[in-house]
Amino acid sequence: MNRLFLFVFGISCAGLTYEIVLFRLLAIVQESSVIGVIISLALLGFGYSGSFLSYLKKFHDKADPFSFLAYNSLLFSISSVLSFLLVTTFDYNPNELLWGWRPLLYLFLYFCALSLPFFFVSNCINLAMVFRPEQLHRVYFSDLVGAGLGGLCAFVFLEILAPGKALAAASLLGVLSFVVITPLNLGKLLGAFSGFLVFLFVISPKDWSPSSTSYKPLAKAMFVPETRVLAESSSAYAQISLVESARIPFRYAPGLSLYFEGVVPKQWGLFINGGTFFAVTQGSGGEEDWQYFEHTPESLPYKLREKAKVLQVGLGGGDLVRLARFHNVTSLTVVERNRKLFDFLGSLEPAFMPPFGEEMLHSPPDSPLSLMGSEASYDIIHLSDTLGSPSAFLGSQNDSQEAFTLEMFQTYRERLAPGGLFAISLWNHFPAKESLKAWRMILDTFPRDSSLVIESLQTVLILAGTSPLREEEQRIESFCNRNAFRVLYPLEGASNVYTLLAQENEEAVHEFVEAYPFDLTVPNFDSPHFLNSSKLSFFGDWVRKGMNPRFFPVEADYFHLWASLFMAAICSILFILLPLWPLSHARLKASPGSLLAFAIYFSAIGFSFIVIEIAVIEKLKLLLGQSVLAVSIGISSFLVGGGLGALGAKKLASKEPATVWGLGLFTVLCAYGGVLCFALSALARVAPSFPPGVDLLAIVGLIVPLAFLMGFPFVLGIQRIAEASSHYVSWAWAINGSVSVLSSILAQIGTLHFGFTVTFSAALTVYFIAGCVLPILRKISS
Amino acid sequence: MTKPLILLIYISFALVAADKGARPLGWEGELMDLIDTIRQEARLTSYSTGRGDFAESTYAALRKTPRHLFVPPALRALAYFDQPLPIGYGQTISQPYIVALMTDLLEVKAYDRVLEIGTGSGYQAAVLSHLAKEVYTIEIIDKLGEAAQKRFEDAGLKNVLGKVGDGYYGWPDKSKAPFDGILVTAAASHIPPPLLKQLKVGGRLVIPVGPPFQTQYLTVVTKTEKGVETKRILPVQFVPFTGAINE
Repeated sequence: MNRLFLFVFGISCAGLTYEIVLFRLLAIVQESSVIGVIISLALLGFGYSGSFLSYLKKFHDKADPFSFLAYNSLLFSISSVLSFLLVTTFDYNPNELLWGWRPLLYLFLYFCALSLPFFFVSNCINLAMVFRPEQLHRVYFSDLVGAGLGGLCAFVFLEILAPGKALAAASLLGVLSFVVITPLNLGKLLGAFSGFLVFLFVISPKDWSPSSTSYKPLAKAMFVPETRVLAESSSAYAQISLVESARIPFRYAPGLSLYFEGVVPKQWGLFINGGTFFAVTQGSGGEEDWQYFEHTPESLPYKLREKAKVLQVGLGGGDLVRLARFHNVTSLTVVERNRKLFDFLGSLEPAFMPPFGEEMLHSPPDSPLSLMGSEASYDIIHLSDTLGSPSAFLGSQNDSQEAFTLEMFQTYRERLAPGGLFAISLWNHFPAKESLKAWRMILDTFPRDSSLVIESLQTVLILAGTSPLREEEQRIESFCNRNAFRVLYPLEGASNVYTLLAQENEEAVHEFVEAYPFDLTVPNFDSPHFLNSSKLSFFGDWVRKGMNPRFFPVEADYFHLWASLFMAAICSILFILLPLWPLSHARLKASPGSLLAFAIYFSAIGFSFIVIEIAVIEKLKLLLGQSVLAVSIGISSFLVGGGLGALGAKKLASKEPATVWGLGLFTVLCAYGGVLCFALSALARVAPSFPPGVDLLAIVGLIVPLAFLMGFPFVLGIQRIAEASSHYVSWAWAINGSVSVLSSILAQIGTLHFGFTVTFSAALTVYFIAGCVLPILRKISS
Repeated sequence: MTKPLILLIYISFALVAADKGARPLGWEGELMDLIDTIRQEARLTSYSTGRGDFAESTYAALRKTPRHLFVPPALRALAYFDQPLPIGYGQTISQPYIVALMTDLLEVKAYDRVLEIGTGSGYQAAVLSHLAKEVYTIEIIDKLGEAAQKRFEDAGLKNVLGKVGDGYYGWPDKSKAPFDGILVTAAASHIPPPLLKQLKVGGRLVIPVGPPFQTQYLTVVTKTEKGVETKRILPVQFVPFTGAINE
């Protein structure tokens, strides 16, 4: 009996490890990676496992349970690797969604292939419960502890192994589970042998990185002759690749003046997850190599404040640091979330100007949030999305960018010394998007007469001081004239989007913002999505403009999210609901009202659970600044807490009067949810000052009680309807599973548009509705 | 009651058949439909481009260039749809509307010498060859450049000269410079100064500018006696533009 629990523990651990490793792998091989989509994939696999097992009920009684479990665990191990290898063969270009049907087909295949390993894991857990109903609580406990450990395993694997090997390690966990459970001696032998081979591969010194779609920036760069990866570093944070293009070096000088006649020095390319690109500029050591800096807008703050004490947010490829050194700053501090980037750049052969010198670089704080508790002050604070994007490691335009929020802008102002300058460099989009959001935050934070916007052909520099910039007017004008840069604000006698936003008439500003094709809502800690400017009304606008891809007013990552939602709906109908229809729909005999209540209850709790989970993970990304850690902590906490709650639910269900207990539970759940919502928001301000690890404990300590309460409703509902007919149970699983598949993506869309608090509150409201419906479920059973 | 209905259906069929009959069969007919689509889109985008329609010479050049010869055989059925198509190596052949727009923005005259950076499949250079006296084109990826050169030879385009190499410094044989027009079909974080040097005063440089691997903005740079004038046209997406160092 013990080996059954050990098996369930192992396979659950393998399943969650695979889920989190998949998140990192897809970020590397695909253009866009969204955590909601991967959770959706996992839930889809679990959902159609439920439908599949409904067909196998008779088979359960006759089959040898241990063989059945063994086959499924082995199939998980095989499919986890093969399905991933299969999807890497699709040359997926998400931009093609705008004009072609091929990406939709690929998305469908992605959903089918990548959900398959979860299907086998789910088969193992569900069958173990079916085979040993009298030990259900112990099976469930093993499942939860295994899943909890899976989060940790994934994080450790990704820290110490290349991503491809982390996948093999997840598969190895499945093989080990097979060895534990298989009743055949030969099977044990073969399993142990194949496990040993996988183990050898995992510990071998040769790295294995999966090949990405040819549309990823790194893959495109590698097509250029004589291009090679010089160095690569992988961690749970990100994969960093340094690339040399010997024949045709990279040349990256955003905003370079049209009047510059020299040469940009040789550069290496620094790719984050094969996507985000930065340049690592080399040089022969002479000052002339860096003359081009003088002809970029980014050098203006350093010209206006000589011998400055500087803070830069985001390291990028180190070019911002070189810019500061070129201007002889007296002190430089760089805030960078990924400490490994410092090590990586620092370890490069300093055949060119070193990226930074010990004498200048202060010990970097981990996160921009840590500035909130700091007392230090600076002459220049520089935030650059072109040279050192602080959000580069999150991966998607849909992710949170805490450095570009109103709260952080207020902090930057507080950290400025008297006469200090705050500078932001952004890409000059047309029509303007992020630069207008940043400008709105500047207008909310700094005096208008001390703010300035200049543009080059490619970039925008927004400069704001604690005092008016009158003394510098002439130098700014001369700098702009020398380089063909344009002053967009202040601007006398003409208007543009920046002057329109800066006008005193608030009503006119409001009208302008409403009518603007992109969302200009000021990002804050509740909705820190600086890079996503898509409006929810985009479909209507697009249809009105003849569905022309040229007028598609959304970012590719955002549209990918909607395409994934569409595909999740198709897959859950095809694989979860339709297979169940012929089996049991005719046997659901209850009044329409009761059936409606049944559908509402199980949809509502499926929706709320997942929406809360995803919203919290999104919040954790802001707090921790690291997607994989946020996902590991979030999913593990919800699984363990929810599982413990499900165990407790059995006792609660037997208490009378059940309706009162049930309603009481939902009330407590919603009340604690409200507390958690407030607490997580407050944590953003105080957590950076906690000692290492305490912030994680605080987060887990806050989430687990809510997850515990969220574990009750499903079991309560199932126990009530199970008395009526087992077919209701199958349908309850199916409805709950299908809604969960969609909700994981809907939650992401919700947090993008409405922020954490509204999305979280909406999920709590739906929970409350489920609580109100709970008493009606009794009528089905009676 | 039924007779007029049958008559109406008959007339409808006849009208449709007549309309189809006005167009040649095969790719020529598809190309004419494509040009109609481009005309419509040119009108739709006139607010951004500042051109209500493209010059007839641009359409004539498109008519002389069979696009299906420049796309992979497996995708030839899609050659006359107004959409980009993959050509391998993470590259795409541009949407025909963009090819038409860039050609039109360049305002090529019959005696002009034009430089293109980023040959790709060779389609854009082939279109330009019907407008300019000489077209020079450079491609970074060997296999693409060689395949394009073969297509030029097969199509008998004698005024197109292709090279595999780095476009950052323009055409390596400086005696061919300055050019009347330079067209860049690869994205650049900045406008390469050497390209501006190879542009004639009064010449036009059409280039997508913006963050690499993201949306860029099609930009027209006009070189004047006093300096340069720039105008952003439309958001586009091109593969990145890299450049070699002069050593």
